[in-house]
Order: sequence, then structure tokens, then C-alpha cells
Amino acid sequence: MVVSSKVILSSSDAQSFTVEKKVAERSILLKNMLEDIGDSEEPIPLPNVSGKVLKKVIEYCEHHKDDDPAPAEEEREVFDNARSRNDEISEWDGTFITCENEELFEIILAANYLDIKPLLDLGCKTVANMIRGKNAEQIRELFNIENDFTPEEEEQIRRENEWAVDA
Amino acid sequence: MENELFEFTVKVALTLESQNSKDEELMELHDKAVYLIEKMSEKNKPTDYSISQFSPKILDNHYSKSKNKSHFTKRIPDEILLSIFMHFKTDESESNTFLVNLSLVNKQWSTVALPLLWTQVYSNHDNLSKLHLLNVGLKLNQEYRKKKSGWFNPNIVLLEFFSDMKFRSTLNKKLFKNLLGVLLLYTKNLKSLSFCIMSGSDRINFNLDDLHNIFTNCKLLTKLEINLLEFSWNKDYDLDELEKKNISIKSGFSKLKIFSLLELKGKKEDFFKLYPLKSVEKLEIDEISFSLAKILKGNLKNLTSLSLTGSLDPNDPGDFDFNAADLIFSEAKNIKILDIQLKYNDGIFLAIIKNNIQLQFISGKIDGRQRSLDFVNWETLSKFLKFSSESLNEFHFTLLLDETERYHSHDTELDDSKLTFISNNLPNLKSFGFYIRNENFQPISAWKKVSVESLKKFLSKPKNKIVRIGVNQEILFGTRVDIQKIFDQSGIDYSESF
Repeated sequence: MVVSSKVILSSSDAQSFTVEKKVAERSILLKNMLEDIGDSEEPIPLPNVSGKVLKKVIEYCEHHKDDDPAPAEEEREVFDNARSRNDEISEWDGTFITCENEELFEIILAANYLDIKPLLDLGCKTVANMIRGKNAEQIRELFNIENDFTPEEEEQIRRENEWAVDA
Repeated sequence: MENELFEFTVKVALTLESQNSKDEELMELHDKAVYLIEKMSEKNKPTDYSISQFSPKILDNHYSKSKNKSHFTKRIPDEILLSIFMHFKTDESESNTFLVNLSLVNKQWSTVALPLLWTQVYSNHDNLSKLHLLNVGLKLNQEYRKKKSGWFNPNIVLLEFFSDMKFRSTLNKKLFKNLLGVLLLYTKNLKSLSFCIMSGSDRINFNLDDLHNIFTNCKLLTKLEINLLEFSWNKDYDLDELEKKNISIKSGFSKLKIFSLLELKGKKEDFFKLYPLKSVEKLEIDEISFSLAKILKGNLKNLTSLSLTGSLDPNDPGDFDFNAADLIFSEAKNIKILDIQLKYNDGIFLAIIKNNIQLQFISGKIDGRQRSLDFVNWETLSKFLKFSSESLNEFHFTLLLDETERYHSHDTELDDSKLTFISNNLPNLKSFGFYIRNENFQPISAWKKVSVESLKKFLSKPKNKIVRIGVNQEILFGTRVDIQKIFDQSGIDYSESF
């Protein structure tokens, strides 16, 4: 729905959020949808995102609404390369992304679904920072990951890849 | 009462299992029933039923749901994991260690981390991004071999990987897909891609989605080589759907090489149906069949170089079909380079792969059977020559014989009449090779019946002089000093083609 540059987003649990079009367009998915449907008063359903997570995503997009626009597909590669080399997280982003693992995971999935690359990257960087320097067991513990290797398989991977560590 | 409840629960579980429903509520109900059975079994140890009678799939479901701990990884897609792991690529030695660590977390993580690790070790990403030519080999269920020098140079990365981790085949498949995905991520400027998968019992299916992945990532690709033990297509894939996805390579390749080492003719045909080859100039294909030739017919106007591999054994599933060759040659009038390799006995070689620089043996199994070679004669060989006689510049022909067959067949050797036939029918020939090799690929004399006179005549064609002849010098010149003299005087290159 577009009311004086406003868009209504509807979450999977039927919560509605009215946001500026400019804010919604931080998402490439929404940007493309808005271009396709033109002016419409219908809420845009986002069945893969819960209200709680959508609220967080909107908060992020609101804060970054005046950033450079999301790059076009052909520019994305250069953008991605530059971005991925920079592991620093701004203070606001750092505070924003500080949350429970479960919520962090949901934000990453939502960013992936909505195609908000900077937010996805922020989530991935955060996870990367969380696991940096930890061993496999610590990582499993951190994220409650089940170890589905048998001891033999685990030993085998270790043995078969030790050359890479020596290289 | 407890027993009744237990029996009732078992009945519910069995009924739901037999329905094999995809309905989530029913599946959950089933899992709950199995869970209750397990709990009751622990408590009461009933004798009639045990948890082991339920299918492993269902028990797996149950266990994964009951633990419900791995929420993070259960649903996280590989590409997101990859994005996370990509942040560990600054300090190489440190990141290698860490990537090994990541690969030990669980199986999903290993299928994402290992390809990243391997590509990182063998190259660095900056180099990969500059690559125009990529050669990838994935060897599964093979003993790991330490990396050798020469695997990597600025133009070619040959990654030979291994795994006998006894993962389910789906995981191995995933491993390969992720590996290819990582490589393609860095190699958008790729113009030439060749990859080879040799798996043991644990097969990998390479399918259309993989091909799409390649084409959508490598828009500049003009050369593709696929060498697979198994080359399979998703049968449900709809051609219209392909067009809808706007994935097309109609103007793509100038060189295409597809080997399929098993009996997969039908599958290969599907490939050519999907991807017309109007732009292909160089084609290498093994185990050509008549139905495949019919598909190729009309698509090969621009073909200038053709390499065919097949067997002359009618009992061999990869039988070389001369009618198919007829069809191809009748269309491909511009062929200038023809390279044919035929095997006689399906027990000798599984396959031979030849390219510009190397020859590779896949298997050397010998079955030792004697068989009639009546069908192998000059007449069959000459069938190749009559089609493209005007345009053919290069013709190299290899016969592979086992020892038994060698002694039973004399008609395979080159002689004066054959040389005259070639000279008369191929007026523009500049490079000619004729080879016979045994099961160990050692050369066997093929030229000893050629007389000095006919060789002189052959070499002194007035219009187009022969500039290169393939002979085995050791075999031939050990007994034929007279011929060696002629070769030396003629100044032509008489090295073997391979």
C-alpha cells in the first residue's frame, strides 16, 4: 500500500508496519516488488518474516535509509568485494545486532530473504566474530549444534586436511 | 493398561509410517508416537515391539526434533554459511587452521568449509579472480595423494580432491556443488572451464542446475569440458522452464568436450537437445551413438575439429556407430582436424583421455578373451575418410589392440594400398598419423608394410605437401632404415602425436 510514499508491510504473524518507501527500498526484494506493482494500497505480505524480526529489520533500514542506495546487480561484485574486506562494525550497528543467537539467526535469514546485503553482511560478520578463535567443540556449544560425525569421521577429516594447515 | 497403551501407540506409529504422509501434522504425530514408544520401551521393556522396527528415517526425524538444539544450523542455507566463512581469509595459515576447525563442527559445515579451504590452499582469491582457464578435478573415494608440484600455475588450477569419509552420497554431491560454487564465485571472468569427477561407488550427479550455476556465473565462458563418471539430468526438467529462466548458451561455446565414461548415451543426448551447438567449432565426444548423431546433425555446420572415441566391439555398450559417423560427416563439411581413437576390446581400457599435453589412463583391466576381428578392417577405417576428404587437413588414427588380437589381425597395419587410398582421397592432408598400441599403450609396428616407393609418392604430393607424420620412431626405424632416410630427407616433422 502506498500512501504519500508510505508502504505497509505485513509479517508472517499478520502484524502490519507502515514505513517510508525509501526505508522499504533498502530491501532489493521490496524495491523490485514496488517497481513491479506500482502504486497499490495493498499491504505487502512477507510470509517468511515474523513481526518481531521485521520490526528489527525496519529499525536497521530506518537508520540506514540515507546511506548510498543499494548497488545494481552489475556493481554488486565490486561492492561485495570491498565490503567483505572490511570486518569493522560501526558502533550503532554493533549495538543493533547485539541480541540472542536465535534472533540474530532470524535477522540473517530475513536479510537474506529481503535481499538487504549490508544487513546480511552485518549478521555474517557478527557470527564470524563470535566463532573466531574457537574450536569446533566451542562452536557447537555456542550455537547448540549437534555433532553428526562419528569419531572416526571426525578423525578422518582432521587427518585428511592436516596438509592444509602445514601448507 | 500400559501394554494396551503401548500397542495402541505402536499401531498409530505403524499406520502413519505406512501412509508415508508429507503432512506436517501427521509427521509430527508419528514422531510423537515413536517418541512415546521409545520412552515406554525404556521403562517397561516390552517384548513384542522395539524401537528398532521403525524406519531409520523416522527415527532420524524424531531424534533431530527431540534434540531441537541445532536450530542455528538446521535451517541456515549453505550460501549464508559460506558468507560467514568468507570472513576468515585474511591471514592464510591462520585461516586454514580455522577452516579445518569449522569443517569439524558438523557435516553441513564441512561441506561448506572444505571447498573454501581447498581453494584457499591451492591458490589465493586474487589469482583465482584473474583466471580465464580453470581445471577442476574431484576424486572421491580415492586414497589421498599429497599435492604435487605443477598442480597450480597462473593459468591453470588443478584441484584434485579426495574423500572417503563415507558420507552419504548427498553430502558428497553437496561438497562438490559447494566447491564448484566457491570456485565460480571467484572466477566470473572465466572463459574456459574443465572439470573431472571420478568417484568410486559413491556417485555424484551432475545435473542441469549445476550447469546453470556455471553459465550464470561465467557469462564469458566459451569452452567447457566435462568429464564425469556419471552425467545425469533431472528428468523432470522442462525445456520450456529452462527458457523461462532465460538461461541459454545458444551463442556460447566454440569448443566443447564431453566425456561420459559409462553407458549414458541417453543422458548425453539430452544435453545436446538442450544446448544447440551451432557455434561449436571443436567437438570431442566419446561413445557416439546413432541417436546422438541424429541430434548433432544440423548443428555442426561450423565444426572444424572433431575428436571421437569409441569401441569397435559390437558387444560394447560404447560401440562406435559408423552410421552415426556417416550422419555427422555428411553435415560437417568443414572438418579440418579429425582425431579418432578406437578400442577393440572392452576389457583393455575403460577410457583414454587425450588432450594437448597429457594422456591419462583410467583403468587397465584385461579380460584376456579372444575375439574375432573380422569386423576390423581397412574398409571400416576408410569409411571415415570418404566424407570429409576435401577439407581434411589432419587425420590421426589410433587403434588399441591387446596382445591376442595383435597376432590375429594383420589387416590393421598400414600398407601401400592404404597409403595410396589416403593420398587419393585426402588431397589437402598435411598431417597424418597412424598408430597401433597394445594394452599398455606401448607402440606396435604399424608402418612396416609400407614400401619406400609409396611413401615417397605419399610425401611428394604436388598440391599440398605433408608437413607432419605420426610414427613411432623406435619401432619403425629399428627395422626400416630406408624409411627413416626418407623421413629425414623430406624434412617433415615425424614425431608421434602423443
